[in-house]
Amino acid sequence: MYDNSFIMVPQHEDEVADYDWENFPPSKYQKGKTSFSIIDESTGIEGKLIAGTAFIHGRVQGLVFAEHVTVEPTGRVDGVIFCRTLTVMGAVGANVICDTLRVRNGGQLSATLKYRTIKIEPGGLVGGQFERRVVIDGRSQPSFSGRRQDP
Amino acid sequence: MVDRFGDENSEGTVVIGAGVDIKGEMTVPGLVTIDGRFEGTLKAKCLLVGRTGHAGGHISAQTVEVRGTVGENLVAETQLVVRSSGAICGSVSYGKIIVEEGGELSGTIQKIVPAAPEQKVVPLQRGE
Repeated sequence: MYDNSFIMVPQHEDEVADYDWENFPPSKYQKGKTSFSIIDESTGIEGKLIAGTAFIHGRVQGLVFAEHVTVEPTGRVDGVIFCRTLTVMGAVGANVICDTLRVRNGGQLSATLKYRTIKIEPGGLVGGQFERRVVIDGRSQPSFSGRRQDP
Repeated sequence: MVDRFGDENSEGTVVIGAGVDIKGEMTVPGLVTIDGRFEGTLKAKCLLVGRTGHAGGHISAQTVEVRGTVGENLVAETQLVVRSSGAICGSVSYGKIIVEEGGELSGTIQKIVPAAPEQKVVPLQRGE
């Protein structure tokens, strides 16, 4: 039986931004398998959800730490999300640190967000404090291209 | 407004070409295209910031499309589209939003909530 109790949850945002997802234990465990976690519509979780890939149809209050997270139209997450890719079709009110964010039609995201790539499709709703991070010399840093001052 | 070609429905437009740098205040009834730099206060119906363009200051328009960079304060009353080469950094308010992959959105983002329609109170008549 797989035990994920030894997984250290990053305590600092830089640890998440530079996280080595290739060696994320749940993802390594499910490599080559068609396995994922589904939190169904009737399920509510209060606490930590650690998974390789998670599809959330129900409600999670607390921490979601996974490589790939999809919040389905009926799903809601409040708290903190650390992940590599986040797809929002439901509602998210959280502190989010991810590499790739996609907000799809009907998705609502109200967040303090740090991301590398973002895509908001028509019908997506977003709000909060956003910061794009770029990798420079192997370190994740805030991007300031919007404040670019041309000579 | 009648333009020089006699078109009665024409709205005044402004094009700030690449290499042009403007500071100040503008109110434009039609389209503003910025391929150069603009700093200041801009109010327009439509705004298009081209790949080489930058708009900074207090920018307000009904529809905004960003292929270049926008800074400080942006209000897109109806729709905001950030193309893959576009970057916005600052305070952003929008009615609807689309961000293409590769586009950048940084700062404080909020949706403009339309004002609730005025509720009309009709007094009940005796017997109702």
